[in-house]
Amino acid sequence: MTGTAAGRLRLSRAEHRSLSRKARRRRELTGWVFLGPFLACFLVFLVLPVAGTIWWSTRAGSIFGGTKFMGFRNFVELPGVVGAWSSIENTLLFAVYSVPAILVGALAIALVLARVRRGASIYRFLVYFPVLVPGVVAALIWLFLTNVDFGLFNEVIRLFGGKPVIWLGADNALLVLAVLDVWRNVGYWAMFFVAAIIGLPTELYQAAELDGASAPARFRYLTLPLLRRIIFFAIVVSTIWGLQVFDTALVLTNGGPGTATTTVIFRVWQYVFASNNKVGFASAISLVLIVAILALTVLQMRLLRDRRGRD
Amino acid sequence: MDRILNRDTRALTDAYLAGGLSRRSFVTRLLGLGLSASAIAALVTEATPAAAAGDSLKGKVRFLVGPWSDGEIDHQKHIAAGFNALHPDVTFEFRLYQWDTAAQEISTSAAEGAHDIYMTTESSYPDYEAGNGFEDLTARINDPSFAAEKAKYLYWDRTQNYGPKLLGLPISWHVEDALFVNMEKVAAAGHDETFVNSWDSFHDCVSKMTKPGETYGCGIGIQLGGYGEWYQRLRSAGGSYLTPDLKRPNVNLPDVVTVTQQMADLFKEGIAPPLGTYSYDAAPAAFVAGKLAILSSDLATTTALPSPMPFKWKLLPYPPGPVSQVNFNDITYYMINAKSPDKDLMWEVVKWWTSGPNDAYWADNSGTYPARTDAAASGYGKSSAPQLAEALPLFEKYAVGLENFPQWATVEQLAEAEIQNCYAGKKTAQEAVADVEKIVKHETGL
Repeated sequence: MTGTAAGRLRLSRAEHRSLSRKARRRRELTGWVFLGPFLACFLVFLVLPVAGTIWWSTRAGSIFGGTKFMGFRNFVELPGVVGAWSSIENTLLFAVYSVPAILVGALAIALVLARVRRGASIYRFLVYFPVLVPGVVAALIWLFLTNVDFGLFNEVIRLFGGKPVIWLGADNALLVLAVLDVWRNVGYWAMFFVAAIIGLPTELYQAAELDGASAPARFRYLTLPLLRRIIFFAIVVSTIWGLQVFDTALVLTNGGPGTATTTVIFRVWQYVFASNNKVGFASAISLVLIVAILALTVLQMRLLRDRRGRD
Repeated sequence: MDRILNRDTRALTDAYLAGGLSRRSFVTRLLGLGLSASAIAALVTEATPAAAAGDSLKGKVRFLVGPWSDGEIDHQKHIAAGFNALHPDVTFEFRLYQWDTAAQEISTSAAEGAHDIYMTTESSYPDYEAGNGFEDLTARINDPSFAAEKAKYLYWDRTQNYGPKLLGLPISWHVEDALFVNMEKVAAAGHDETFVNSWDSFHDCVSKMTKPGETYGCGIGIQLGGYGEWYQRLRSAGGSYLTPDLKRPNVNLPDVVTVTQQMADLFKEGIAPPLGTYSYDAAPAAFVAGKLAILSSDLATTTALPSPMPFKWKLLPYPPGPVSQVNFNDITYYMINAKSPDKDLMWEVVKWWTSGPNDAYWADNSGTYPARTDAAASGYGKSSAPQLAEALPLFEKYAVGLENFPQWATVEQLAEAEIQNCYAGKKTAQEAVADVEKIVKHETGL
């Protein structure tokens, strides 16, 4: 029952509960409406495929044909398959080559870009431009750059009297793929770092300067600690991306020469589409990769956590 | 009579395609040759009467084809124009797949029903035979009304060997790894074309042709993945992926290790360019420039060579192995998607595409051999390099195809990559051959 006393609307306890429940429901409903599209995409494009991958990993057969239950046989067979270890080795090496180079390069570029005043947007665009190039196109560009007879790289080497290098040979191809990855991604992370550096409190730097701190000291004791969170984020994400390298390996080297650039995802692709009965096997590899990436991320989080506290 | 009609009709078709004639003028002039449209179709294109029965056919036909030459789509449109002259209500759409991803693109497209007609290679035929993605054409091909036409297609014995279903009509018989030989360099090395008669003389010749920093004697391993290249050495050593009864692997044999080592030695001695030096697309230019005295590639490379060439050259088979001399080849087919809505239309289209003149025209411009007995009489040999016709008897003599198990193409892809690890010095020949045997076991489940 409603009533007024001294100008105030008075509600009974039950009415108050009912109204607040309605308000909460409305709020929740509004939240779900806003969350809905994302949730639908999350379910359709992530949860369902992962669930499908788990299901497929226990089966043998083709993606378009019949399958049969295999239990864990696909997982048991994995270590003994020819090329399994070399594809893991290639993937890890690729990440080891590319991730540090990307992050160090991006940070260096960001430090310079953050100081540029005139024409800053042009420089930023130029640095970011390779990010806009699709992987396949980037690989085709590099196919020409690395051509032994008329590629730009060897032309420059010849100009200085050097011998032409077989860039896509068995010993260099993985490194070239990593450099291509650095070329494509360094601008992306550089923009992240620029935004972070610009947002750093200037009074700290002014105080440090007044205290006589040199530029390297300011970088070591101010910039790096202040950027720690974003650097940590960049390490985790770029490592995950590095472990998923595929498109450039397909176009530039087709996994070769031999298996020199055959990565884990390349193997998955081969088993899903090139084999007639190995989709379960490919799913098992994918699951192992997902678990490996999760484990690596957790490990990185632990290693990179500040000793003085938690982030 | 056929040849005259063929020539006149071809001239009219070319004029029509070049825009010099309207469709009406084209048809009128065809009739001016004194023949009805159906008679022209029956005589000139060797098509069945059903194909020329009139303008009753209508619909859309979506092709997924391989890029045999830079002009592939133009060649397809040329053939389509001839069909449209008889059936104007049929429209065509052509899409190219990439060689590296052909099997994947075809499988995915067939499953989705994205295309109606596919240009497929024999390497996947056993797989397709085991599946149900493509229309079973057995009844149509074995229909008595098609018997006379069927007799003009080649290689039925090979196709029938894969199983009870006939899934397509053949259009090409293709040598996947021939030797493109600069005969002037061979002569300068003190040899003639008989240098391919033994591995020793082959090795001596390519060694002498090699000039460090200038010319490599033999460009092998050029096709990343090396389709069929090592496989034919395996067969020449008496090996195969599986025994003839398909019950056991037949790879890890002493002679197979020997031939693998021979190939690896070419790289070790600097006679062959290190893997990754030349790509499939760049290698023909290196051959033309004299940087490769011999190029190992498939016959479609002939379409990438200039005419005339700056030197005398020949197509030759690989030297013999310890057991036999072998050249690997495969057949290309047109197949119909089982999900295609109008199978009758597709059948008429496939018949037209593989008819004598059209097969001759396409093969002639694609650097391959046609799959018809009447191709030579239908104009084959006008555009292709004369070396193709010259080498055919040798290639036929040493021809081997693939083995009849569904995983053959997968095994081949993985095996050639492992063998290239040996060429790159990452594995010994024994290790590489043993790994190929493991691949065979894993893929086939033996």
